[in-house]
Amino acid sequence: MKIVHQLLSGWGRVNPRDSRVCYPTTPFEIEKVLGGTNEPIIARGLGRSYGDAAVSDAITVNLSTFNFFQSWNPQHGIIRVSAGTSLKQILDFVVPQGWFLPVTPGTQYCTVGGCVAADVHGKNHHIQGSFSKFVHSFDLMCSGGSLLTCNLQTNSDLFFATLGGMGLTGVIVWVELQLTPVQTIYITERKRRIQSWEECIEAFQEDNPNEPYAVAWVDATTSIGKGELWYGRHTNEDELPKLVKPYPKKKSKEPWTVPNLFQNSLVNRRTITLFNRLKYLNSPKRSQTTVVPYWEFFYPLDRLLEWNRLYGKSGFIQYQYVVPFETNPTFHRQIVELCLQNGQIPSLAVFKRMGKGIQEELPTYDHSLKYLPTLSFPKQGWTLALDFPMTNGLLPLLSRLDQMVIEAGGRVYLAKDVRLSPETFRKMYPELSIWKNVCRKYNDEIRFQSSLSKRLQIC
Amino acid sequence: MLIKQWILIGATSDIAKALIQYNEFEPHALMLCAKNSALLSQMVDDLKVRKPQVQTNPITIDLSQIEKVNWLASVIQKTFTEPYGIIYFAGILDDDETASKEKIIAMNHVNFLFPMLLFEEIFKNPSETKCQSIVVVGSVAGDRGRAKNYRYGATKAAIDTYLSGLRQRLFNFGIHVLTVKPGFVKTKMIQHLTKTPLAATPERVAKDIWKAIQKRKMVIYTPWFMRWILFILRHLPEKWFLKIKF
Repeated sequence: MKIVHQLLSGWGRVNPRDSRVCYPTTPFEIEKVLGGTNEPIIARGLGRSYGDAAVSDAITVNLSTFNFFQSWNPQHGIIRVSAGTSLKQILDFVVPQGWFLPVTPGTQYCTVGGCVAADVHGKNHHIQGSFSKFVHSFDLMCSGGSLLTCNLQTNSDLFFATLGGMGLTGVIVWVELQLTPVQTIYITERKRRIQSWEECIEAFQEDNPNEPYAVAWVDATTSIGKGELWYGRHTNEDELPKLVKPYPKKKSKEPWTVPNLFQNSLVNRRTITLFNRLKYLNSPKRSQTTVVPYWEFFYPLDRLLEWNRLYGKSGFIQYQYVVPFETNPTFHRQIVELCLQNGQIPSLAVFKRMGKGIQEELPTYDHSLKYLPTLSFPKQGWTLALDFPMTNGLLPLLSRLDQMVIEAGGRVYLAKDVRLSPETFRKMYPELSIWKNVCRKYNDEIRFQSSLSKRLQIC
Repeated sequence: MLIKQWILIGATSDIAKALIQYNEFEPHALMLCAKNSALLSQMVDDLKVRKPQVQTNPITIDLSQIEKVNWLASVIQKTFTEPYGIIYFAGILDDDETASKEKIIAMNHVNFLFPMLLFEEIFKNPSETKCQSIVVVGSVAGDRGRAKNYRYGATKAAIDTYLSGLRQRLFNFGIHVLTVKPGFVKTKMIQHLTKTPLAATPERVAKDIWKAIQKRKMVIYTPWFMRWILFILRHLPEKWFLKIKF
């Protein structure tokens, strides 16, 4: 297996590491990589996690070319794919047949393996839960090199440890997913303007199962909480005008690629303010409903490939936290205020409501475990994601935010993290010790390590 | 008439994979030839899911063993009684100073000798063969030798010249010969290179190839602008060319 040197970093392009990378395309080749060395290994997909979860000083197994469908059941919407398959490949195949991913993150250029390992969530988390809820089973390659089938019945502890396990329990090889039926490729989107944090939170609290997707963009250049709220649902066939086909052949436009030219960030105080003002002015004053193809609703950022290059050589950090519902509604305003006081202006802020995480849903699972060994991020509450261009004063500020989040009983998303300390991490993820036991049970030695796991001293 | 039966040689290459997965490529039967049998069977499963109507016939073959040429030619001629086409994707890029003699020989076999001998065998009697179209993925590296990859470029120049002659010979028989010259493509082949300017995706190259087949083009560059870059590069006086560093 050819091993090549590459400078790798997460999507945020902070802290690049010199890594040795190989590109296996069959389970047998992954096994050969595992057997051929004693060094730590971490799997990587399309590199969309913001932090250093899929980066390593040692060996990185890039599975982005391991993208194959294995089986497909069009009656029940169950698809079995290799871990390196991207969500785009799945959607391009299943949507014309009337199926859709029940949970999708904000990009379709991410792999299924990555979605399982980070237990990603989507705009419908408060209704549907996270990605892992729709994983029937997967095959995992642990340090021994053999494939272990994991699902609710067999190896259920390893199953939960791998959901949100950041790839540290082994290499995910095959994944079986449950899809959800849709009638058209369209989403009925409703937009409304919001004037304050209070209004935003109130709007989210109106439970509306008819519109399962809900997400808010907030103008974080001020602490007022102005912004725009999007609701969405899959459009039914009978709602379409007569001449519009439910599954037209048309495709999304070819995306543009940002060239790797910028030394300095194009995203700075001026452009951020301008962008946020314009976006707010562009939002409809009264609630407005439109019908758009699914990619326009779910993946607006995919129109621009490699958009992380806009932040220049120094990169950016996305800070996403979740805090319980009981938290004072002014909490988010305080967070934004603190950022602005410290001269750090978030370029983008996305706010949404989260439903129960897999730990909280434990009673609904049928098996013997009392407490789930999982590092999955989502839990009931409010979540805010803030993008910051990487500058000098940013890291101390984020450490202060960590303290506020811990005091509120919340935590930070590992898939986006590049700077958390081991101590704060332990306060945020109390499940760590039992998770570790499961990880040790199936791996005789610590083979799976990333820059993230070393920094947080997970293994 | 559009050919509905295709033989893909080097079927596990990324461009071949992209072509197989391309929506508008709708053959009735496919023969997939490649070395890695595990990967090949994975691709056959994938194809069964994506395009269940396609009959697939996987064949494991190591193209560096040129003695297998006659065997492959006879298998092809026995299998296909309807008009068919061959797309040759296989290629090796083993081009640094440390490459051993064996590696260079293998590169020559896969990139040039094997396809040449195979086509010679198949077109022994062009009026009788059912093969109506051949497509070979060459490279822009064959247009002018550069210090970085001239050994590889030489094999690609050889296949280019060969195809040009074959095209002329087969023209009167109505057999279509297409030479594809991609620039950098983001595939397994160039993973070890740190600088790959203007690299295209395999999907784009596959799409260009399929369009060129339908339009019966003879030589295509992909992406299209490579034609003009290479036009300039080919016409640079040798004196200036010596001083270029890329």
